[in-house]
Amino acid sequence: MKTQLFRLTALLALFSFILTACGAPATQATEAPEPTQPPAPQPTTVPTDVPRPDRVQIYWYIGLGTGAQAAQIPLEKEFVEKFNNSQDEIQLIPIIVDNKYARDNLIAQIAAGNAPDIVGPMGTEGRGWFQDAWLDLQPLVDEFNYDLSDIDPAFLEFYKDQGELVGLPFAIFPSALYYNKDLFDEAGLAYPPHKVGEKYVLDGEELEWNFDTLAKVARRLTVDANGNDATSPDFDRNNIVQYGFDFQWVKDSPRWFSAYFEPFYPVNENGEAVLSDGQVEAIKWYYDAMWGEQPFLPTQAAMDTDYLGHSNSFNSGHVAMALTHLWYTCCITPPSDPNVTVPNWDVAVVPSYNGKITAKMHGDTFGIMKTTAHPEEAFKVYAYMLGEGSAELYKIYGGLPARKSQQADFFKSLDEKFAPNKVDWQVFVDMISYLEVPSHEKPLPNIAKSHDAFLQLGSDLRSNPNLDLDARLAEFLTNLTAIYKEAQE
Amino acid sequence: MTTTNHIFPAGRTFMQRKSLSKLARREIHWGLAFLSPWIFGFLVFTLIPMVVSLIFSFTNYNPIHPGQTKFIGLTNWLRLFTDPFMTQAWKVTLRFALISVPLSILFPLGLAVLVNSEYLFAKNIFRTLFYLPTMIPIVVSVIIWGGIMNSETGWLNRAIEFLLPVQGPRWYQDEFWVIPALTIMGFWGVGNAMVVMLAGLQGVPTELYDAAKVDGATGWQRFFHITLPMISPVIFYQLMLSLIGSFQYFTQAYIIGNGRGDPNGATLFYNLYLYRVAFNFLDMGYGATLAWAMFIIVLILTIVLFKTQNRWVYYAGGE
Repeated sequence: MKTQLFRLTALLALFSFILTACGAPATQATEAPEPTQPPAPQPTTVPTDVPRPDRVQIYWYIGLGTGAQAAQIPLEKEFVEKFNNSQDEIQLIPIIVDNKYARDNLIAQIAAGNAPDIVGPMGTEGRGWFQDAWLDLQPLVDEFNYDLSDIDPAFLEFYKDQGELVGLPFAIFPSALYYNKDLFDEAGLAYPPHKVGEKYVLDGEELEWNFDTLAKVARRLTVDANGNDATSPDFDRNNIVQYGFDFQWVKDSPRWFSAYFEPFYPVNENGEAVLSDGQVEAIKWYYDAMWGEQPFLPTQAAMDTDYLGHSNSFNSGHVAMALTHLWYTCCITPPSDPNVTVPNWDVAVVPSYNGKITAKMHGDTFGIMKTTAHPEEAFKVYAYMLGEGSAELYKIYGGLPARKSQQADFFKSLDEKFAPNKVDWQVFVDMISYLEVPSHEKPLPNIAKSHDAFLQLGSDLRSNPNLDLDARLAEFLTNLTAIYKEAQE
Repeated sequence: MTTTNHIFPAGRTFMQRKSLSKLARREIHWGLAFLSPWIFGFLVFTLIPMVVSLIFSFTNYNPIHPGQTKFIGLTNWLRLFTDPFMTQAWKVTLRFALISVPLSILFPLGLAVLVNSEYLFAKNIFRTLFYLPTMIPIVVSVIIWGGIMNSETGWLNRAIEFLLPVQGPRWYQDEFWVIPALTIMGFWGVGNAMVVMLAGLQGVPTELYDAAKVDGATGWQRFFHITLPMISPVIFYQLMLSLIGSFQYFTQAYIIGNGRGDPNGATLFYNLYLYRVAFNFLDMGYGATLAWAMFIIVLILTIVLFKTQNRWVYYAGGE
């Protein structure tokens, strides 16, 4: 009896060792009780529902874009439960993965032949990592007579990849120029225009609101420790305490910020890398803004400081203007927070280049994977997400609804967040008409390497004050062409 | 020398287990049973992945398109000799090794001599202080040093500019300065090496120093002719660790260089390049080849180092 008891204990110990040695801490096979507090972010969360034999299972992969934040997870589960209770044909099962691991995790699932059916929400770039993996939705839109009348046709173009409609518009993030009203008031400068076509008045002179004018204003708003602005002969460029302008989180790749000047797909008909004149001019404008005689845009070293909020520069209160997307409202501290740094801000129209405004757009959507065994059922879920269930998803994910009828509620929620500061949200709505085609995120050949080459160029621009720009761009294009060709081989 | 134990008596081998006693067999079974989690883990997480990665190195495996995997012979291995980024990665790694390996021996040795000195007041406090930074996780350490070395607001540059009539380097943005910056950052983590060196120093018999003093040897002579030879096994051990460590350098370069080798490829260490090929560009076949090439090169270097130890490492107790 004693021996048996000893063997049993030893076997249990052995089994527990094996589990400890081999267990993946993040996986949770059984359903956990609903926590009273929002759960802490987990590296991965596997499906918790048990597949039901009487239904078709549709797996929904969340995390490639937003969706894996602790506060979002219970709401997503509620959404899934509501959908599952609304019909008796499909069982929707969420797979929620932390954004940091989502790409690698999805790669592993595809490699294992275990890909989910629906993925999202995700941006164009997220989709681009899995080029050729998405189902063309047009045949399903036709088959189900899916109503697209409430959606701007330009958006549909925006969501096409190589002619295929790989997503339907869900949430959009147009661009505008954020500005700190207090810094303008302090400098005695007029606010930038809120309407397309309005002139900017500088020193009594009416100027077209373009990137040259923006640079002039930004120089006046760039101040050193002694209070001299960048146009002053006494200006000390090594002691800048306030910058006039930044491309807020849209400057890592020159492809991103140059889209504000001129949208252009950098591949010619021979499959070679090429930049448009507008893109080259944008890159030179940007470089001069950091390293020129009168700098007004923070360099990499400046961005890395606590003083500029470790890259959240506009919200540091030390940058007067920032050009970026609507999603940046995420990261401006609201006035209700005691740590507010920019209590009075507003938005203005994007400056023009060569007389034309380009307000580059980000668009989130969902995709159905080509490998799905149940495309029709997946599309039914998809249609629910973008239709009947969309109001709940907008609450979870934010973003301006692509459907016009749902946009007012979204801005109302932002007004509540930033009260008592009043923001002219209409600017964002007006900027939608100026979205860029082709998208600055349209996947490039050999996307991982080509995107990386753009990032390297961006890093070089921000870090190296001694660049021979023409030579650097020529080298860049040679390397990029080689990367494109590698994909063709 | 013959070793004996109660499981395998002298002259018997494991293969002769049939003649073992019941107790001995039972002990073997239980021993293996308790070892099995490790054996299982080793097989599943080390040996099998190594074998699989060797197989991958002869394929074009891409995890997004696993169905398109083809056997491509030695293509990946030949690519090692034509890949320009591979050359860049080796240049960066060797430059770092040449700068940091000697310093990673000399600096902790100097500290160990210092905190071992009979003239030093409050030795234990200094030992603790020098060791403390090793307790800080690498990522945190890199972020702290990012602040110290920031070219605009970091106190290191402010100190340089206060003391000298020059502008401080752009440590992390300048291709020339980034490797020295990483080396300086590495000084913060020499506590472990210092403790090992200190243990070595304290193991040197004091009678050797006494005899040398009687013979009129100066402090430097005692250090070079007694201390160094006596702690040469410790230096050899430290040299091995530093060399292998410099080839495995990754985390600091990944954070400082934004995972891309910024600025302009100056921190594209071999390991970082391997990571990028395999996990950013998803070229798992070539990534596996890079990993195996690294394994082979480090193995060769280790063997070469071991072969040289007869010439300069002194083992007081013989081989």
